[in-house]
Amino acid sequence: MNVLNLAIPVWQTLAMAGAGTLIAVALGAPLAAYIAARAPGARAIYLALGALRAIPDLTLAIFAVVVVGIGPAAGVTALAVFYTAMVGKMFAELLGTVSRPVLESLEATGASKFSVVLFGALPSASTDLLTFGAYAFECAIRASVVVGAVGAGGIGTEIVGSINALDYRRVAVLIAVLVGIVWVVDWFGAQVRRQPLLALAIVPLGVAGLIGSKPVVFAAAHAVKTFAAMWPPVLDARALAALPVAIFETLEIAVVGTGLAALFAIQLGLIAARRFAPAPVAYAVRRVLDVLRSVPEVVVGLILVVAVGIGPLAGALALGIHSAGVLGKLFAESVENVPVAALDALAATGAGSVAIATYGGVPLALGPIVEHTLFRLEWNLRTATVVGMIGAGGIGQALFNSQQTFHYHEMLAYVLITWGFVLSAEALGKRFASTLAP
Amino acid sequence: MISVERLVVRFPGAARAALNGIDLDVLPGERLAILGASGSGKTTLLRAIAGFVTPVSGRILVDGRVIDTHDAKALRAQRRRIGMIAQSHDMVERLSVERNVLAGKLGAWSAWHALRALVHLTPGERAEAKAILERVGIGDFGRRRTGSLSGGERQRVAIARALAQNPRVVLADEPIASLDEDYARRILELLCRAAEEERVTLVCTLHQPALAHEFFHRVVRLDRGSIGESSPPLHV
Amino acid sequence: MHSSRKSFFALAGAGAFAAALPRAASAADTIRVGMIPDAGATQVSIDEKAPLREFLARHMQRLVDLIIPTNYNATVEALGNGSLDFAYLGGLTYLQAHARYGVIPLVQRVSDRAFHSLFITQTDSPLKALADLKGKTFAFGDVNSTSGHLMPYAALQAAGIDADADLKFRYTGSHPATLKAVEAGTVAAGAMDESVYASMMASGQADKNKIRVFYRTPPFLDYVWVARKDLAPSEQFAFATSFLALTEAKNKPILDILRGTKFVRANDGEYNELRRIATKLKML
Ligand SMILES: Nc1ncnc2c1ncn2[C@@H]1O[C@H](COP(=O)(O)OP(=O)(O)O)[C@@H](O)[C@H]1O
Ligand SMILES: [Mg+2]
Repeated sequence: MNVLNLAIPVWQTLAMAGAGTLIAVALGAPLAAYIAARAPGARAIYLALGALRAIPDLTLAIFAVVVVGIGPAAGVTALAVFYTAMVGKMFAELLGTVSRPVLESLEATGASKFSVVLFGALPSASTDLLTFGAYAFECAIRASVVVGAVGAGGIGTEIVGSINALDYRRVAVLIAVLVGIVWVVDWFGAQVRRQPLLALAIVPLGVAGLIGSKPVVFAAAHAVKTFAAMWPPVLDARALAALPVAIFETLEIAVVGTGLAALFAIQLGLIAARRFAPAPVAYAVRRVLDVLRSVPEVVVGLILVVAVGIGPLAGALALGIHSAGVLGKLFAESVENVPVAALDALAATGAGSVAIATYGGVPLALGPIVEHTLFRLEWNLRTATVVGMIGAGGIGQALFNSQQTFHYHEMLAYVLITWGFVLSAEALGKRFASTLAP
Repeated sequence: MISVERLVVRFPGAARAALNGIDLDVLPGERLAILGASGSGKTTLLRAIAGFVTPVSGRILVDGRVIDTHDAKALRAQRRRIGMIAQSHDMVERLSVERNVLAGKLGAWSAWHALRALVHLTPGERAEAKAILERVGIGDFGRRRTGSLSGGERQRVAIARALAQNPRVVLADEPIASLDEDYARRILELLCRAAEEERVTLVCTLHQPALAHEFFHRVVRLDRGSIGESSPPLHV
Repeated sequence: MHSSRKSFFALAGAGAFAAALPRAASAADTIRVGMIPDAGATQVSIDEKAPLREFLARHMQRLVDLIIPTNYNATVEALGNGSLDFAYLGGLTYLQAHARYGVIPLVQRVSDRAFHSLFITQTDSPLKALADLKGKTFAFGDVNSTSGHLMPYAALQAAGIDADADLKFRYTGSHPATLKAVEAGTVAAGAMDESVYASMMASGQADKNKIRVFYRTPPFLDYVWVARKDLAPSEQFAFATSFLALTEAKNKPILDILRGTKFVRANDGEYNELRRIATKLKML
C-alpha cells in the first residue's frame, strides 16, 4: 500500500478538524463573552446557538458546498459552523460558572458587564476553556470523518470511496488508521487536562489547515440565491404519506441501537471493571471498548450497509456497536464506584465473582447505568438521523435523497423535521436529567 | 456625601426585611464604622449603596445623586466614584497582583483597554500598580499570582484596588475579619491613613467596638435591619 | 500558569487573524475537473487517473486538478458556483445541471450514445421478466444515476410495475454496491450500469456463476463531459478537442481510464427523450 495516498487523507482530516476548531473558538469565544455579559439579545443568541447545534453536521456539510465549493473548505465550513455553536454555548456556560462575588467586585468599579467578563470571568475560567477547546477538537476529528463521507475529503471520503470501489482491504487499513488517530487525540486530550496550555498546540495545526483548505470560490451571492430558492418547505402527498414510516424508522434505529448497546455494555462493562475479572482480561476488554468508541457511528454504518444491507438494521447496529463502546466504559466506571463494603458483604456469603458482579455490582450501580443509557438514547436520536443519510433509512435517508435529486423544497422540509426531532430529543434528555437528579 | 433615606430592603421570600427603614447621613471625609451581629444587614446596606440591591422603598444618594439600579449607565458612573472592598476580598485568582490592583480602573477603561491590559501592561501601568502596592506595604508583589497570597495580603491588594480606582467614597465590608488583632490594627491604620490622604469618605463594617471607636469618627450599630444606638459624630 | 490568560488571547487572536485571511482567491491558473463518483472516490482512484490529468494538462497548457466528489449533488452545485470548470456527468445529472445552471455539453463516448441498464438477479432465482418483480426486494444504485435508477424505473413502469407501490426497494448508492447486494442475496434483483457490470465481471470483482442478467433496457443517452456556463469558449474548445483527438492507437491508457474507445461531440437536443422521461417521473 502506497503510504503517500494514506498521508494525504490523514492530513486532510487533521487539518479540517484543526481549522474548524480554530474558527469555532475564534467566533465562539466572543459570542460566549457577549452572552456571559448578558448584553442585549444575549438570550436570543444563546438559543440560536442551541438551534444551530441541532442541525446535523452532515446537513451543514451539504449546504457548505453551495457556498465555498467542493473540497476541504466545505468540510471546514461545516465543522466551523457546528462547533462555533457548540463552543459558543459551552464557553458561555463555563464563563457563567465563575463565582458571582468575584464579578460583583469588578462591577463595583463601574465597569461594563463586557469588561467584567473579559477581565474577571475569562481568566478565571481559562483552564476549563482550554480543556473544552481540546475536547471540541477531539469531537471535530470524528466529525471531520463524518463530513468527509459526503465528499469533504480526508479519511471519511476515502472510506466511502473505497467501499464503493469494493476495496475492502483499503477500508480496513483506513479504519485502523482512524483508530490510531483517535487514540493519539484521546491521549492528547488527557495531557491537556493535566496541562491546559498544551491545547494551544492545536493553533498551528489549525492555521496550517486553514491555509491548506482555502476555498476555490466564495459564492456568497450564489449561495443566498440557492438557499432562498429552497423556501418554502414543501412535502408532496407521497412524501407526507411516507413520513410516519420514516420517523418510526429513525426512532427504531435509535431505540434498538441503544438497547443493543446497553445489553452488551453491561456485560463488557462488568468484565472491564477492575474489580471482578482477572486484570489481563479486564485490560483486553478495555482496549476493545476503546476501539468500538473510536470508530464513529457513520463509519460503522457505511461498513454495515455493505455487510448486512441497506436499511434500519444497519443503522441500529452501527449505533449499537459504537454506543456499546461508550456505555461499556461508563458502566465499568459506575460499577467500580460501588462501595467496596457492599460487595465484601456479598463475598462473605461465599458468592463467586460472577455472582458478586450480578447481584452486587449491577444493582448498586443501577442509577448511573440507567442515567448513562438515557443520555445515550438522546444522543442516538440525533445520530439516527445522520446514519440515515448513508443508507440506514428514516428521515435522514429521505433528507439525503431529496437533496441528491435537487428537490430542495422537500429537503428543507426534512431539514426542519430533523431539526425538530433533534430538539425534542434534547428536551426529552433534559427532562430525564431533571427527573433523575437527586 | 452619602444619604440613606428610609431605606427598606426585602429579599424575595424572606420573612422579614433585611433593612427596615434605614436613615443615615455620612459627611464628606467622615470615617464611619458600622457594628452589628452577623445577619444584621451590614453587607446588604453597603451593597445597596453600591447599587447591587434594589430597595423596596426609600432612596440612597451619593454625592447628591440618586443610586438608581434601573439606569445602568448612570449607575456605572456612580460606581466609578465608589470603591468597594468586599467581605470576602474577591480577587481574580488567576491574575497577577498588579492586574488585580489595576482592575480598580476597569470602570474607567473601555472593553478594548481591558482586553489589552489582560494580555499586556504598559510600563506606565506597571509603575502605577507598583506605587500603589508600595503604599499598602507589598511593593514587590506585583508579578505574583493573586491565588497564592495569604488572607492579610489579599486584604492589602483589595485596598490597593480601591485606591487605584481613585474614588470619593470607599465601602469596606469587614476588612479585618479573620485577621489577628495585630494585623487587623495595621490594616485599619492603612485604610484610615489612605482615606485621610485621599480625602475619601469611608464606611467600614466590623465586629470590634474597641477598634471601631479608636479608628473612626463615628460608630453606628445595626440591629436586625435597623439603626440602633449611634455614637455622637466627632469632628471631621 | 501565570501566562495562561496571555496564551488564551494569543489563541483567540490567531484564530481571528486566520479566519480573516483572504478567502475569495480564484482558481485562475488551475483547471478543475470533476468526475462523478461512479467507481469510488479515493486517493487511489485519483492516482490511477493521473495519466488523464497529465494528458489534459499537456493539451490545454494548464495545471489540472482532478476532483472526485462522493456525490452527484455536490458535483452539480460545484459547477453552479464555479468551483469546478469541467465535469463528467451521467445523463440525468447532466439534465439537472443544465436545467439549474445551464452547463454546456462538450463530448461523450460513442458508447454513451446507446447505453443500456441491466436488470440482474442470482443465477438460480426464478425471475425471468420485469413483471415477475412484483412484491420483490430490489436495489437501485444512486438515486441520481441514469442507468442505476432513472431508466430502470422507466423500464419497470413500461412493464406495468410501479416501483413505489409494487417493490420493496432501496438505493445502494453505487453500481458495484448493487451488484454486491444482489450477489449476497440481500435483494432479489437490482438494476445497474452495463459498463460497470462488464468491467466487474472481467476483473473478477463479481462472481460470474452467481449473477445473471434477466433484462436489458432499450438504448438511451447517458454520460457526457460538460463545461460550466460562463467558462471562456476558448477553454471549452481546448478541452473538447483534447478528447476528440484521443485515438486507440495513440492513447490506449487514457481511453482505458475513461472506459471508452472514441469521443464525439455531444449536443443538448439529443437529450430531449431522456428529459421527457425524467420530467414525467418527477426526477427533474
Ligand atoms: N442575596 C440575598 N438573598 C436573600 N437573602 C439575603 C441575601 N443577602 C443577605 N440576605 C439576608 O439578609 C439578612 C442580612 O444579611 P447581611 O446583610 O449579609 O448581614 P451581615 O452582613 O450583617 O452579616 C440576612 O438574614 C441574610 O440571610
Ligand atoms: Mg456581612
